[in-house]
Amino acid sequence: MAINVKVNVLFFASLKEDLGVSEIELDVSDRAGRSDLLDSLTSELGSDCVSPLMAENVSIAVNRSIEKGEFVLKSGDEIAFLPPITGG
Amino acid sequence: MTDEELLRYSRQIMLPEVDIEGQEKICAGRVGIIGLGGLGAPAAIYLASSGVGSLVLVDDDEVEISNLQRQIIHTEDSLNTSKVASGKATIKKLNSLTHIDIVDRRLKEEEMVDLASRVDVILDATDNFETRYALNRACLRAKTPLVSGAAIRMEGQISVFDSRRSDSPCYQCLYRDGLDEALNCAENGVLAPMVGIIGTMQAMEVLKLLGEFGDPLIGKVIYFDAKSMQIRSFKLNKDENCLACGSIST
Repeated sequence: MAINVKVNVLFFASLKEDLGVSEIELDVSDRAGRSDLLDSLTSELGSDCVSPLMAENVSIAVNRSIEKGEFVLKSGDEIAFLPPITGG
Repeated sequence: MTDEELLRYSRQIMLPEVDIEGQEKICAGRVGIIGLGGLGAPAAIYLASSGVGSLVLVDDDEVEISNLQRQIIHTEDSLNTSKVASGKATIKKLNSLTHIDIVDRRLKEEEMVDLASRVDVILDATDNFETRYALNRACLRAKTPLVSGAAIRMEGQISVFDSRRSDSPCYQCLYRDGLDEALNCAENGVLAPMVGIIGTMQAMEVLKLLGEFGDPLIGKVIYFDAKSMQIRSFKLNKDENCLACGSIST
């Protein structure tokens, strides 16, 4: 049976408004990757709620480092979702 | 520097990080400001008042009444005139020592490369992805550092991309190509000081690059959420598969 670990997920700026929550503690499988994280979030919050996180150019940061490729999560990691900003 | 300049810039010359040497570099500095709206307005004002020697202001818009809430370089007197002419007039009153060139049309990418190769820093104060990607490519080709800022609603972001350094990410390492729906202030709104905060931070980064002091935001992106007054810095690595800079690396 897969071991679950807890990670902390932050939603930044407009994503916080879109999801109606700024931060959640989430159970993910140990060594979960990008798609596992999104699956766990969908289970927790529902697919409609999570769709803004899937938008193009939303960045994911793990422990304050923006990760464009694959990543592996461990217990206690902080994950941040960052929306694209272009206005000026 | 003349006695007048020494007195004029004395409050920043007295900073040990700047000193006369740093101020001389600032006074010799040439900066291209692309976009003279919410971000470019405060950036241009602070760069001129700090003593930057030469500014090139680029914008194809005219001043509209809805700009005045946040684009503080423009006044009621400049309504319906070009933004760059309005900006030049304001700066001339602020610091006549700063040389100003203006371009009142949209630059083609080759012209952006030419401009980037003639200045020390490009300040991106535009409001859409298409121009931002083009400016990024131009700065990569010219090997000119790019100070990038963006703001909307009550949130903002700033970073520095310095293609003189082989380990520096570029704008497209952060935002991959293909995003066609940019959020702009006309459609989404912006609280006036938000662009002021980010534009002013961009001016600060330009001064650090010109004066060669401090640690510019290379390899880092700052996100600013004014609603909760949260400021967070995130590390950004160069993307070896980046469409813009990946193949240029090493």
